[in-house]
Amino acid sequence: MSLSISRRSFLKTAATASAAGVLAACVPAAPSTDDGAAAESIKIVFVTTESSDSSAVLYDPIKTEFQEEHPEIEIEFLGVVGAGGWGGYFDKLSVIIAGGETVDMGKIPTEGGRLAVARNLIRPLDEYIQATPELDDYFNDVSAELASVFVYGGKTYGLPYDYNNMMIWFNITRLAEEGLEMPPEDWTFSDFREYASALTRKDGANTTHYGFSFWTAPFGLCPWLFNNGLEGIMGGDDLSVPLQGDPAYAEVIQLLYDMMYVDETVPKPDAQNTGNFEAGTQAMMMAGRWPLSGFLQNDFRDWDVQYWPKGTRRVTEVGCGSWPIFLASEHPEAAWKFETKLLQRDSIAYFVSTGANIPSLRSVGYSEEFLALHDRSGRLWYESIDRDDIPVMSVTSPPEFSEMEQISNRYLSQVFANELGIAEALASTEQELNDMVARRPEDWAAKFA
Amino acid sequence: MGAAGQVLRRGGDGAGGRSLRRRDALTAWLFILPTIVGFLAFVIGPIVGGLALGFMRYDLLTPPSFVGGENFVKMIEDQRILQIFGNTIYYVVGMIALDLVWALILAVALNSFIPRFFKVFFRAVFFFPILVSGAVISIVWLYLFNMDLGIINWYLVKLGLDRVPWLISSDWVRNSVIIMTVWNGVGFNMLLLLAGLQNIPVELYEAGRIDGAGRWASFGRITLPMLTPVIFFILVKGAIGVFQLFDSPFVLTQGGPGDASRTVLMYIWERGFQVLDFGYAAAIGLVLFLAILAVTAVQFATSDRWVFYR
Repeated sequence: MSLSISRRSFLKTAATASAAGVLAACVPAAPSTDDGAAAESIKIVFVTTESSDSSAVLYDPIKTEFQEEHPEIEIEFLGVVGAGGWGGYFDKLSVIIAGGETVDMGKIPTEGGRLAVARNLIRPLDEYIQATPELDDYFNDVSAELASVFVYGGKTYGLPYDYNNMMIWFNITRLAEEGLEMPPEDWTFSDFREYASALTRKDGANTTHYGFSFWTAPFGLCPWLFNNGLEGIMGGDDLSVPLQGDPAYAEVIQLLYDMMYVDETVPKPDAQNTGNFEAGTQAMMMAGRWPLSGFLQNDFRDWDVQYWPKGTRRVTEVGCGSWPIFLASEHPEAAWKFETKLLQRDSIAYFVSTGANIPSLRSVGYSEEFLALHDRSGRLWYESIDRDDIPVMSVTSPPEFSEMEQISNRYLSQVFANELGIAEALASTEQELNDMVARRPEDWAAKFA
Repeated sequence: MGAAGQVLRRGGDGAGGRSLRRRDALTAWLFILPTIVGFLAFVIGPIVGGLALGFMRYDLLTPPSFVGGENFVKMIEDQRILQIFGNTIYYVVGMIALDLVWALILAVALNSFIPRFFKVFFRAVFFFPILVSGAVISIVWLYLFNMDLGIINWYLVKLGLDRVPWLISSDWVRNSVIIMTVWNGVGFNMLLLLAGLQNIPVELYEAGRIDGAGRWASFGRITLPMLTPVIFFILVKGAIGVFQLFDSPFVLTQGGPGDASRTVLMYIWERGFQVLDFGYAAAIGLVLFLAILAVTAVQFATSDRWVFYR
């Protein structure tokens, strides 16, 4: 019997098979009929800001311990990465959830807390907290200021595991070159401006060393506003009141503008912050603790930090990280078990050792292990939220955080490009933010009352 | 009857012949079915969905609701939209003109009598930026264009010139985006024009020399007309591409200062993914589609007046 096959027959068979494959791919998978084994295995999808592979590596020690204690719960990481800062992260997360992807828990910072609550993405945790004695140590150890960051309308939606604040970093080599000492912690806006001038050098028409540089995304703008007596970019319990009409707001923008165009101690706003600081071409920079990991990798240790200068008062700005549980989760109890594990002291200490944020737990923030990561001023990081004389305020985070950021940046970019007056820019910003608030659904106010 | 006719009439006109032709037709459909399914699912489906969304109010997390022409009325009242469309048209005209001229100069230079080593080397040099991610290139140019610390202004000052506010001046920022984007993409069009140049019959230049044509006359009367099909392709493809410009201004300027460098696609992204107003974003997308369609139609309609096909 001949086993040969004609070319026509082969091609017909191949075409039929490929068409069948395409049609089969369009058919949804049949539900599993093996109920016994499937019911005992729960998969938790955990959304992070690192790539899925990086998250798997980062969380691996904690996940391994957890799964030894709970072999029935499997943790899968879903990385949401890309450009756009926290605003971009929320945009992508919203698209993922709207697209029907099942996610159980994930990283949500302060900037996204109200957004997540307003859009019914996350669930209150109060009942879970009350039923979990394993978190007693957490609540005895966490700063009260941080524990309330994710409380909206009297309900707790998240528990901070880390945070970042804003400090002024000094390149101490540049300080020494100009014969300057570190400023005292109660230094003022005027002192700060003088320091920037003293630390700026010119070579003819070229400026070789700048005193400072700034950025005006909400986390960078708010410390100026807070320390000049304002609630932030927007105010009110439900963050529905734009504050650009307050003279204190214009004072802050005028200060930054004058440093750029009058004193010429600050480069134009397209400058790169951390790199210039490390290179020594910029003596001061504004940041939280996040540049530290890069500095350690580059073995750059010539830095020190000081509290934010005082305007009309002293305030520490914070932005916290938490792991809320999504309303769409089909396994909230299992997700809560993993969250409880993540909030143990050892877990928080582990995360801080791998990253560049500040631990939410006091015992970790003042621990020898944490302080050893800093050549100097290591205590300032946690102390900044631990003092009775310095209130703590969260970065302005309305439910429309992305839109607020875009509106604010759009007008401030024109101010610092010297193309729009401060008064006109702030009036336009206020108008657009009012329009933004006017579009809010009516039920949002009750969620934050 | 020739072999083809025999093949066509294989099986005859009877039932057997019709059955064979039906089987052949079925085989053909099976071959193209995967492409059709993919085209319907990933091209036609989203286009139709997008068109429909332009008449809806949709914030991603609540069901869409029909609002008729409300989004288009909003567009008429939008004070930002004119500047943003204006920026996009500026980019289309500026990028295509600069890219075409620069690519032609490079192609003519590479087609001249220079040693082969240098031809290969410079071809690779000018093509290389295309292989690099646009976002990476934008980051590098962010450093180059920096007004106070960038190397371009550093040397301008050394030459006694004023610093240029490449990225922070409304007057300059669009030109900066054009410079960077053309630098990034000119290599591709250079290769197309080079291939076009190498396909021009040498006999035409010989005939021109016999008739007394000099270098410039040869270029204007022979080279350019023979390149018009390639130039037409570059213009059509370039316009469609630049109308949808997003990545370079997004990384370089975030559309600023203000809206000075913002493109239509950036605005669609902003209204959709930042403001969560997907209906309005889809409506703008529809208008952009119609604009691209109109420009392309005009290009094709006028092409027979200046494009010369052999």
